[in-house]
Amino acid sequence: MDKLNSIFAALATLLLLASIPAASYAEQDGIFFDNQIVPIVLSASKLPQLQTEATASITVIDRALIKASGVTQIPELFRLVPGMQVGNARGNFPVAAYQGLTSEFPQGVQVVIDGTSVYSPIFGGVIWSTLPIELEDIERIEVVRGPNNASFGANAFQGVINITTTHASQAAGVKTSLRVDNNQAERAFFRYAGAQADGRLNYRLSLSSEKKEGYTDFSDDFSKDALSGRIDYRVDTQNTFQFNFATLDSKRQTQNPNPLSPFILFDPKRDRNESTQFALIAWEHQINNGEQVRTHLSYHHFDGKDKYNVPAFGTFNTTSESTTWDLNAEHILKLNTAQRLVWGIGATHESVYAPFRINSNSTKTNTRVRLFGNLESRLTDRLILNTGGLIEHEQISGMNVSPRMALNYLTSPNHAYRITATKAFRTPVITEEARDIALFGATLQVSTDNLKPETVVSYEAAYHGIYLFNTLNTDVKLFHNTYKQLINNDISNTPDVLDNMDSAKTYGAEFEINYRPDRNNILHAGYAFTHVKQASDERLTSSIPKHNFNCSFRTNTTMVGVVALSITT
Amino acid sequence: MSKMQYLGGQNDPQAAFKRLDLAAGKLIKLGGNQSIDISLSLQLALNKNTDFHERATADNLIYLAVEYRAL
Repeated sequence: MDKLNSIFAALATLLLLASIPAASYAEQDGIFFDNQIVPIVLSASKLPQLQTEATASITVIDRALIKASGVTQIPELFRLVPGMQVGNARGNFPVAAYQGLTSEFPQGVQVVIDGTSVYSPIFGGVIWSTLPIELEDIERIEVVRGPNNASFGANAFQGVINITTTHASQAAGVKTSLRVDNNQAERAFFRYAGAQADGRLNYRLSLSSEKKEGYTDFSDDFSKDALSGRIDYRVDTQNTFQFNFATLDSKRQTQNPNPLSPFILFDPKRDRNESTQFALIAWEHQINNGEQVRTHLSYHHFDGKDKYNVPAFGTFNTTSESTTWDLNAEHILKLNTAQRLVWGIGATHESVYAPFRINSNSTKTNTRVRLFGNLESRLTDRLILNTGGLIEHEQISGMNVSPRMALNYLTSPNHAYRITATKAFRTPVITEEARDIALFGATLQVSTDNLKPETVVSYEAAYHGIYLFNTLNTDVKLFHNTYKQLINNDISNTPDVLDNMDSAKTYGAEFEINYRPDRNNILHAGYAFTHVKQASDERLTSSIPKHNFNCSFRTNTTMVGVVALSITT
Repeated sequence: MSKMQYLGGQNDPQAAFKRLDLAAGKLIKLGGNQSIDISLSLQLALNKNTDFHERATADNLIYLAVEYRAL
């Protein structure tokens, strides 16, 4: 009955909305469906490439799709991506993974904001609830479906989520919103963006505050207050600076969800206070039309305070802190009429404090340096060869190399076939390399000496086609992945030893269409099938969803307004 | 999405799920480059979604959002 009431209430509100005279959406910019498809992607090789000429299959989630999707938090967007699985590890603790083989911290997906990684050196993956960005400030997300170490370094093992924030000049004015739901959730958002009179300095500042309940039977209330901003300064026609910053505090109730778990006593109901500080400064220098240099320095600090008392056993400290500094420089140049090159160097320094996971009160560090590049060669009018790779050295796992080669054959400018071969790796995070979890002297989990990086050899065959005057984008991909040296993480065997014993082979297919006949209508659909050909353990097979399907349709009429429907199965 | 289970966790398998989300929105121009955008989202319209534990059942959620913009 409650459900029926909810649906009737929703329908009544729809009718009420429909009775309000609508503005002409055709006259509006930046509200709904304000972008047509521009099939150029940046994330495949770090060269701006037409999707038909890119080295990977990429799902583009732009502002129009974000706005139209009706999602309330960033991870929900990835339901639109074939092969991605979105769920919750606990109440108000979302998880977004790609093609399975994942823990509740999906370590195979690299997440990048404005060119810098926000991958957690504590757990791997990202903690979405403390991501230093607002949904409203995202301009575009490119999801690279497939390994891409060659462009994004270690941990772009299965895929990359590359988030670009809105340029301060594109957010001019005031935007404020209030959102409530029927489960006691409230969120307020305010943004102000302005510019200096000459237009060279633009800035935006966003404030948000939210609180929400989770599942009915769980202690999982969540609240967050955040402040973030971006300043863009154009020095002259060749030089621009970008400065991003964010700070947020959150409180999340948590507890072991399983009342029968042997760990319930040590994982009781409590508040976990998490905060993040983030800053990025980037300099972009345009040398000439085909040549540019971009350099950035970023700082990302996460503090998850979680210290509590367990009756009869004393104080538990599962606090975790991390700090990441990242310095990166990239150079794009046109070598001749047929060749473009992007190459870069970078260094990342991570420090982690996680006493419970490494049985030590000391802070562990890891430093990595990298050299990467991609050469795009137009062999003929129809044939494009991309060759590239990454050489990376890090404290924990030493030297790693990731080569990649892709060949695109264009039967016409709008239709292309592609084959890609790459080898990628995921280096163990600090708390895997130094894992030592003990309860009262009894070891629960420890890592083996010399934990190696996980590796994957991936082959893809794909077709990308653009139809109907660039309004219909289609992508079909067949893949075969051979995973080796996967890090075993099975706490049900006590004491468990983290080692590189696991392996798997998968193959499958992904299909995606994006149809936008005009700015008022969007049809987006995707399907993924993944088959586990061989796995060293049944747990690996169980971690991979065999099918996932999504279909979203949004239409916008003057009479009714926007109506949207989304199916995920 | 078909069912799956995260590695190394203590949770139940994520059950296979189907979800239907509906949304509607209306833009109202106020003049002077000001506008109000009202939107309503209904998530999990037809069925509940069991997440990481059999007790972690998400029922349908109705979001109402009002957005004001001034350029």
